[in-house]
Amino acid sequence: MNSRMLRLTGPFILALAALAALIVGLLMGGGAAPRLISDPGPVIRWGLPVVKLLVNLSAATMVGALIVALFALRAREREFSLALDVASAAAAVFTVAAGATGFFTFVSTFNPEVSAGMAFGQQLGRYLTETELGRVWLISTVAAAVITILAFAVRGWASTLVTALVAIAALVPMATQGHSGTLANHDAAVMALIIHVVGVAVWLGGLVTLVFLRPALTAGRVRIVVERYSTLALASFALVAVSGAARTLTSITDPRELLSPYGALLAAKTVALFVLGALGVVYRRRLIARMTGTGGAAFWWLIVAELGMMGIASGAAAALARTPAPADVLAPALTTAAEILTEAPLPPELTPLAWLTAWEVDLLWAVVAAGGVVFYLAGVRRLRRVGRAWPKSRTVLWTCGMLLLFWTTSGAAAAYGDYLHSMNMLGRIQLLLVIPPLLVLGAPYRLALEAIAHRNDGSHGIREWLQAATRSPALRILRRSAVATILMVATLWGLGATRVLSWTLVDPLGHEWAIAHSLAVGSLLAWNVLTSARPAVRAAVTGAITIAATALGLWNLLQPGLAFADWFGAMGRTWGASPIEDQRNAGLIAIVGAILPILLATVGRRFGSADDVASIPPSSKGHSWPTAATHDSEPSRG
Amino acid sequence: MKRPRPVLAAALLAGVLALASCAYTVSLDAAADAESPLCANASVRLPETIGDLERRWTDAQATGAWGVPTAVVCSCGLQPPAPTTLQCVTIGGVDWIVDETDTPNLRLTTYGREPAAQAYIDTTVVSADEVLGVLSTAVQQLPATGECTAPDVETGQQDAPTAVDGDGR
Repeated sequence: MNSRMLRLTGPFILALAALAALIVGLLMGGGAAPRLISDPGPVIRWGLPVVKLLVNLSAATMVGALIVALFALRAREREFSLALDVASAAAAVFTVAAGATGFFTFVSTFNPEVSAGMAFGQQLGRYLTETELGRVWLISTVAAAVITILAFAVRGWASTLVTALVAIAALVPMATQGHSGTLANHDAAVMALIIHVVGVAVWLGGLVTLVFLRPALTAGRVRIVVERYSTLALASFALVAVSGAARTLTSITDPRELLSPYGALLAAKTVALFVLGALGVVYRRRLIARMTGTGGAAFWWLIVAELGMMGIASGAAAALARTPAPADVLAPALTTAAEILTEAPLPPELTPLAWLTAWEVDLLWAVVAAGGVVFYLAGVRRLRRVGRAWPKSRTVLWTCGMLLLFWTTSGAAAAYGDYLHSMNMLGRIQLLLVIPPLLVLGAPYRLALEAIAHRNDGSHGIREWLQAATRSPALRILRRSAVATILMVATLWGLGATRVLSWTLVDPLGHEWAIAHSLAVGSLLAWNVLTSARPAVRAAVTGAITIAATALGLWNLLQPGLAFADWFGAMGRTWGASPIEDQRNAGLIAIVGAILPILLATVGRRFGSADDVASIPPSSKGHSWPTAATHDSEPSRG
Repeated sequence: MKRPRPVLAAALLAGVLALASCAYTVSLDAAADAESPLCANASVRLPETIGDLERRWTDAQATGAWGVPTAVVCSCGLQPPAPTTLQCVTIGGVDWIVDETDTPNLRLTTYGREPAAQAYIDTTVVSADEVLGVLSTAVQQLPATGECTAPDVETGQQDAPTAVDGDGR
């Protein structure tokens, strides 16, 4: 098949398969069935899922094209601009489709009398600015329009990275709309959906981009780019499978509920997922290895088949989105104090056993922790294979850090962090002062530099992106001891004693931000303490943090009033310590945490000395793999 | 960089933050039974604003404060008052005993609710009727155990102390 034909057939097959699956799915699940009350008519009932499908496909292509450009292509080459053109065109379609979806949703939800009159215009305006649903589509449409222009205008590395981040962020509002999941796990359902959508976007969008890129790639390039895409696809497959399973768990309460149209659509998606996974294995294992030139017709037919399969999954997904899930509630009834504050019922008493059995999985950080361990171990294995030493202690420290990250974000500290000030403090101290030192001592940056193959074709892989990040002016400022210290003190107090904490409690986005921010600040500080050559600076930094943490602890311990009385004091909790006693416990935890910086500066430095973890060599040009296997010998540690 | 800089900057920052968090907190005492879950039900429903008055941050359980300087304070978890000869008003389905000792400030205590709630209002800033009207949604959460025998039912502005509209002082 020649490339022009492929360019036409690929997307066509994708769209056709998607549309067919959507129609079958809607007929089966009743997602477009006439409604008894205020039926918006068949145009809206059938049109809404179709434009929503178009939104999904175009948004995926937009993100996928940008990610492929960033990860597999060379800037300032035709392939790069072509990928950005694909992204721009997809974003344009996304803009129109998102606008149409917003309008169709408005008509479907509020059933207004459609006219060109004033009254209708005002109603539409109110919907777009005042209702949550309207705002979601307004934001999506505007964001898509911005990305259309950005992707058209930018051609550099940094600017493309920013565009890609905006593009991924543009997927988030769509995932947060609606009341998915039962009352107790709404946030979990939303997080699973966000990860799912991003995974699908990279996977599906990347494949579509591949089809468009083919004519711009020379014979030698095709194999390289396909190989890199298949690495992305493998990671996406894992994300999509895990988040899909998690989303399913939140949408059903009883396995028997799977024997429903909803369950059947879900089965279609699952089958498509596994067929796609198998196809991926086939071409990763066999076809790429045997690939010569631009790949035979068989190879590109396989890609088309894959697109068809993705179409089926996308169509089923769009139909599924219109089919009410068994456990989804329309508007959760919030009655108790805890439900009004946290949108989840009060958990049972925090018994010693509950420290082990209370889980509220935050999929984002679970994925980060799992990915962190898997990639780290893979890197160590790669080093071992070529006979290079990697101290076991680093692996152990890194793994402990990641496990602790998982427990802190998903275990008892997370499950009770919204309800008990002490558990919230425990989580914050872990994220700021316990986990980052463990991770920094694992020397991940050094491992990445040593284990990841050096790209020499002018594209950016993980290794090149990491190096670019360490050379960036922003990080150069953040690495200064004074900046890291001030950030840490501000975070300790900002998240411990100001309204910022209230924001992280109320807003799921604030909650995730606080975790990411704490880890970043903690890592900066740990890196500073571990690498600083001057004892005086080290003592000053350690001293400042210890004083700040102790002060926070004493403030909690000694003040007669109850901080965050309108939150921790208003839960209606009948078990456990009274809020004021609990606040004192939080203070004690902070005081214990104040010892950690001192430990880090003394014991921690014995584990990993400056040259061990620093590894941000100013002159790190990167030796090309694997020729560097012999230079840079490492002392091996027990 | 020189040694004392980070310490100094950090200490300064901590000081500023501590001051800032104190400056907008209203210090109150919690009532005896403030820990009751019934009070939690009421306090999570307290309004963000009463008229133009913004809600403030308090440091006591089951309390609320509005306005700068504080014009309205309310707290939950008091002992229910015994029958009294003081005036009783019914606003929004809640009976309140009116204590005018501190005029122009009014102390209003729920009657026939257990646990009881209390509002303390600077009537030169906001009218008692308006405050009680807005608070009733929250206070209704407290279970009723009795009612006033001859309450003054709200009849517009008649019973209300004169409200002074102005710059919120």
